[in-house]
Amino acid sequence: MVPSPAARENGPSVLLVEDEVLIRSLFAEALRDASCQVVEAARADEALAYIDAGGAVDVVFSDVRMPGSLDGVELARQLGHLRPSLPVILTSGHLRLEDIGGLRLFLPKPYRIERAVAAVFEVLGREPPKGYL
Amino acid sequence: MSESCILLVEDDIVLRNSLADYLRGCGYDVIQAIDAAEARQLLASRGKAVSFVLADVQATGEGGFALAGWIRANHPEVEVMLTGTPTRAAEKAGDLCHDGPAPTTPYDHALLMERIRRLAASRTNQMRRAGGRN
Repeated sequence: MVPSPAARENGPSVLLVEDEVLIRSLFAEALRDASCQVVEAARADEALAYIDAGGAVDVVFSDVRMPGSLDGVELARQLGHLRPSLPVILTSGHLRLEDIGGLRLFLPKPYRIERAVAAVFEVLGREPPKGYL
Repeated sequence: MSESCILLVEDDIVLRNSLADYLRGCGYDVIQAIDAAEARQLLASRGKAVSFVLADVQATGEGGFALAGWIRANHPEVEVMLTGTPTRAAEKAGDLCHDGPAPTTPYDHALLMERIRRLAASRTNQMRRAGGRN
C-alpha cells in the first residue's frame, strides 16, 4: 500500500551539519518530531553548497570537527558573511566556548537531544510545540 | 517510525534533501546517508525498520552495486532500488510515491518552484566552478 500524503510541517527550517550519521539521523528525527523542517548535511562544505544554491534555512546547527575542507567554525564565519542574520549554533566535545571567540551560540557535547532541540527554538525566540519538551 | 522507512543514499545535498522531503510528503519515514559507509551504519543500527534502500549507482565509496550486494547478503528483507541519474532517482521516488503528493495547492506549487530554483542554482554554480578550473 502506498502511504497517503502527509501534511507538511510548519516549524523552523534547520540545516543540521554533523558527520556522525547515527547522531545526525537521531537528532534530525527529534527535530522533525518537534515540527521542524530539517536539511541534513554530513560536512561543512556540503552545507555551504546548500546555502550557495539558495536553500531556505532559519538556523544552522553544526558540529565543529568534520572531514572536508571546512570545519564548523569556518562554516560559521563564512555564513556570517553570506547571511549575517542567520543564527549558527556550534557544538563540540573538544572545544570550549572561549576557544571560538565571537561565536556566542555554543552547545558542548555530549548534549541531550531535547536540550539541543530546545536550543534551536530558543535562538529563534520561538516555543517548541506544546507537549514536546 | 512508520512501517515503511526508506534509506536514501545520495551524495548531492540538494537532490538528497529534495527527494527525502518528497517521500516524507507521501507519508514515508526517510533516513539519509551521504555514501555507502553511512548506509551500512544506518542499516546496522536500524536495519529492521528499513523497507527500501534507494541508492545512487555511483554512491561515494564502494558504489551502489557493491552496497546492493552487501544488503542482499545481510538484509535480504530490504528491497534495493538503484538510480543512475537525478532524473532516474526522481522517477524511482515517484514509483514509490505514485499516489502523491499531487501539486494541487498553491503551497505545493510554491514548494515545487523552490526546489526547481535550488536545483537550477546548484547546477549553475557547479558549471561556473567547473569553468573556473579550466
